[in-house]
Amino acid sequence: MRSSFFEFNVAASALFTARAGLDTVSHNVANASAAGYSRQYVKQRAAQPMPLNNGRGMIGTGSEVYGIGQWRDIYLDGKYREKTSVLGEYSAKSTQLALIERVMGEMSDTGLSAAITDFFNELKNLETSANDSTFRANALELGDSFAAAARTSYETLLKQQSDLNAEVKAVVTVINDIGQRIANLNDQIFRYEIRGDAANDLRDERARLTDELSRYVNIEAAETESSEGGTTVRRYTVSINGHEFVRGSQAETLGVAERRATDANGDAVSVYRNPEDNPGLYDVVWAATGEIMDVYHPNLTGELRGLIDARDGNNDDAIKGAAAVSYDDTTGELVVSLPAGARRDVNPAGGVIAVYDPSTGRVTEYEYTSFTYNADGSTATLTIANPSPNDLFTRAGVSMSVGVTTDYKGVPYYLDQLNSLVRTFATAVNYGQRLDGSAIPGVIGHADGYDLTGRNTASPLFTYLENGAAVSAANYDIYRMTAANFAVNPEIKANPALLAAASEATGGVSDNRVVLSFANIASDGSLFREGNIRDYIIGISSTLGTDAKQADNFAASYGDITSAIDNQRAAVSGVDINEEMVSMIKYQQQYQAAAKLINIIDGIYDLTINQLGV
Amino acid sequence: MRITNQMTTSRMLINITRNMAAVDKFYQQLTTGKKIQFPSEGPIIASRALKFRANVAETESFLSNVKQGTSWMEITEKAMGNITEALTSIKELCAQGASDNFNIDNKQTFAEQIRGLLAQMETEVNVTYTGRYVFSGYRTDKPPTLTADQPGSDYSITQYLSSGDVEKARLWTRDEATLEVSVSETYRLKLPYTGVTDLTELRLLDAAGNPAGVIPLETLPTAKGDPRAYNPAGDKAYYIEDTGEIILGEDARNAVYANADGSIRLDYRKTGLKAGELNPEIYFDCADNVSGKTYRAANQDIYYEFGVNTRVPINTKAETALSAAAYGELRSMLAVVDGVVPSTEAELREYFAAQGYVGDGLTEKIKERQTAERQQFSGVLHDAFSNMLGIVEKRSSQVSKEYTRLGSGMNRLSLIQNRLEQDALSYESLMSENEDVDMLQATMDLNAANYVYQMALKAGGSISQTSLADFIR
Repeated sequence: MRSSFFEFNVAASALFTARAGLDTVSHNVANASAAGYSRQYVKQRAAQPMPLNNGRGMIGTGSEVYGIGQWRDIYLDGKYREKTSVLGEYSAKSTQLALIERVMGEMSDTGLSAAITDFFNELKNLETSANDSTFRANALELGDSFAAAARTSYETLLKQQSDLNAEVKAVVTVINDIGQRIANLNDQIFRYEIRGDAANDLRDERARLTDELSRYVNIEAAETESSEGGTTVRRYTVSINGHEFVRGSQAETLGVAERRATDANGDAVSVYRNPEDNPGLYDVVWAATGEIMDVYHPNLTGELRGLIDARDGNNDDAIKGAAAVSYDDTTGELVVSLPAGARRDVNPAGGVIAVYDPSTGRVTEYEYTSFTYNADGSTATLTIANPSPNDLFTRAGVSMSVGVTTDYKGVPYYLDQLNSLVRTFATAVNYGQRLDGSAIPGVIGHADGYDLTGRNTASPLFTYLENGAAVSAANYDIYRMTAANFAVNPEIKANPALLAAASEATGGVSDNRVVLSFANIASDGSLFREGNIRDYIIGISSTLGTDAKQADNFAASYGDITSAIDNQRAAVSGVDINEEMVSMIKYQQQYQAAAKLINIIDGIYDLTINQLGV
Repeated sequence: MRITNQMTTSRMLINITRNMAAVDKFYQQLTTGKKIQFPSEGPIIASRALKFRANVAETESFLSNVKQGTSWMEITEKAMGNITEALTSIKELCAQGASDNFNIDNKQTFAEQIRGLLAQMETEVNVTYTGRYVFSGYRTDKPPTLTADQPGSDYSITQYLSSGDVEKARLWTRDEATLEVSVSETYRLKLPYTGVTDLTELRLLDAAGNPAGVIPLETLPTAKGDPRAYNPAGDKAYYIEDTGEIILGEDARNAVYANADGSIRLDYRKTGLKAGELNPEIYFDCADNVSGKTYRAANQDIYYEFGVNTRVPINTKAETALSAAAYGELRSMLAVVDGVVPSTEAELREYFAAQGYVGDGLTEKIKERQTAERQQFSGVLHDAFSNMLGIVEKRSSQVSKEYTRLGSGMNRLSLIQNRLEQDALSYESLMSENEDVDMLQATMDLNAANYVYQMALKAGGSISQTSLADFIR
């Protein structure tokens, strides 16, 4: 026997489902332009039918809403995040390289190539009147301009590196913040879904946060189901480059630690990955364990990677092929032999030495707290921080490199290029030699020349300053010269008569042979690997330009790719007003029909109850 | 594929942004006139631009050097011209002096004029350009001929001469006792200074500069009254201190002529230089005994750069304009001519009276002696002037060779200037082609981009207006 008001219930269920449908439509319409919103739909089905008493079939009991679903494509989400990481990396690189470009300002009149051209041209003037102190002063002035241009470029790049360092810290903070918010959402979603409902809007928010996170660092996000204690537990995990970051409602934090090591006396020593670095750059660490995150891993992308590459990139310039000569594992003193042609300007304070063990295929990095070259640069003595008998230095078959390499041309690469420029230039002008000691044909070094009074003081024309004054002849070490302390010899600048233009003591006041020979420096095609000095300087800025253009192109193309994927996501999840209007009409008509039906049923009941019978 | 409003609007926004970027790019080009602002916009264009700018600046620098070098050479040319004229005048005077139409007094007047022309040449060789002596090589603060006396100076000088500088002259001495003038044919070399000391030998060097013999010199303080002076024995060679002559005996002479391919080296010491004398620091390898500095005469060519690996010397040295040998020869010849002083009547009378001649015999003897002297002196003067004529012709041709070389040097500079000016033009135009944007093209591009942008805006504005909601009652 059917219940009395069975038809009412059936019609009423129609009203309820129509209402639910309209609610969902209005929710969709309200959120049509909300970021990350996936359109929702009512899951409607016929309610459990009842069997008829007479055994002839079943009768439907109306419809029911058994859930509200979301249109979302997890695959597209994953693709979107993957591409966004790369976009983040190249956007960061594009911005940073553009900044470096503006700093170097090569296309303007104050760029390095303009400065060196002006200096060499002024030398041509000087050679016509070597006796005239005005011409001498002018030449020294332009030499000073060149030195100032090199110094300014160098210092601004160093400042840029320090700004990048601060940005790394800022990005780490943002990552932590997002991670924490995701963990909170996970908790909320868990509580909400205990009841069996789907927390659609919360999930949308969580997905949006994950998208945002993927721009900073590449992540894998997955919702896993596992059986724990007899129940299925759904847990959302986010991993950064394979290391778990958010696991359910627990979020790890990343921190930054300045690169320091403790030397034998217990003092903190700055560790330099690159000799040109600012002291105290940050490593990114996992706060819980203190483990240093490998930000140089080839798979890591995202803005973090872009910033790190720009900050630390040295174009693979480390001393490779070092071999251990002796190692004392109690004091940590390690003597290594260096290959020929190794760089001679490793920072004497702390640094990193990497050991590659082919048997395990892993690279282990060790920090050292002091580094000293021997007299001719063929060996060096290092003090390893935290020595232990397990250290790999003396193991057979290992290969070592002093300094670690990052295969990107970041700030340290450009700093090193500037350093090479000033060192090679100074050696050529002062001594008529290239950095490797070979003589430049036809060049008489300034130190071999005679000044206006016929004296030879063997003084360099370009030198470097230590503690504000020119370094003394006894302490002059070309590898201590950097573009930051490079300067025209202050004594000569103060007294232009000391400029040694003559090549003979009693040659005469107009003897210009030393200055004349400097023209051969400008035209020496073997001065640098890249060619002559002008080619080298132009090469620095055109390498920078090419890399910046490449970063721009990548950023633009990945921007296009991500927006194409986003469009595809929108195709699945986006709200279309027209569609919602159609749904609205559909539900409205359902509601109207159901309401009409209730009226009719009401009429029937009215007839049955009030007008039929006694 | 579903297309939602959101997709359409986001696409519309992206397209409008892209069009705006294109408009911005062409606007930048049009307003700056350059294709790129930073290397990243066009690395190849940027690197070419920097190279061309450097080339343009360098070419201007070379042009400035060319102008400097040309001015220097013009000053030199003018001075050389004046020296050539002076030498021509000297030649004329020597021709007159060599003829027999003039007597001793006239010839001494010619000598006076020649002295004036020599002084003029000394002034010409001291010409300056922007305060620097043009003929002094690198030592542009020192004049080639001294402008003032230097009483405290003391130099050890090395001078090189050649066998062609040996002059065959007729020189005379007078016996103090007999007042008899004897003229001898002598072979002599002339130093540019008088009164030098420490000249003890004459060294012969062969063509390669290796020693080829030494001739010892005996110093005689003066030739006056010394019959040996101009009449050396075969194996002797004298240095006469007060005239600065080296007299070669037959052996010495033969040795010098045998070494005709080589050179002669003289080392001596000169103190107390006078105004008008040659500055040893400019002319010779010497050592200043007061300051201890040594000076070399070689490698005093001033080179200027006129192009990459193009260096041209722009100066002329004093030795080519007024050589030490020519100076010495002129001075010496003037000394000879001035030195011709016939015995006075009183002296002869006294002498012959002492000999016992009286009255007419005395007068006759005096006349006889005077006639003989006149003839002897006439021969001496004739030789002096006609030798000088030959010498001046030789020196003149040397100077005009240098003059010609100077002219061709100036021509070369002028050609270099032409080429540099053309280079400057072509670098400028290459630079402009590379860097500068074609204004017409940029204007058209900007207009096209602007048009596309406006169309995008218009289209975007029209598509998003209506939806189904507008048509539902």
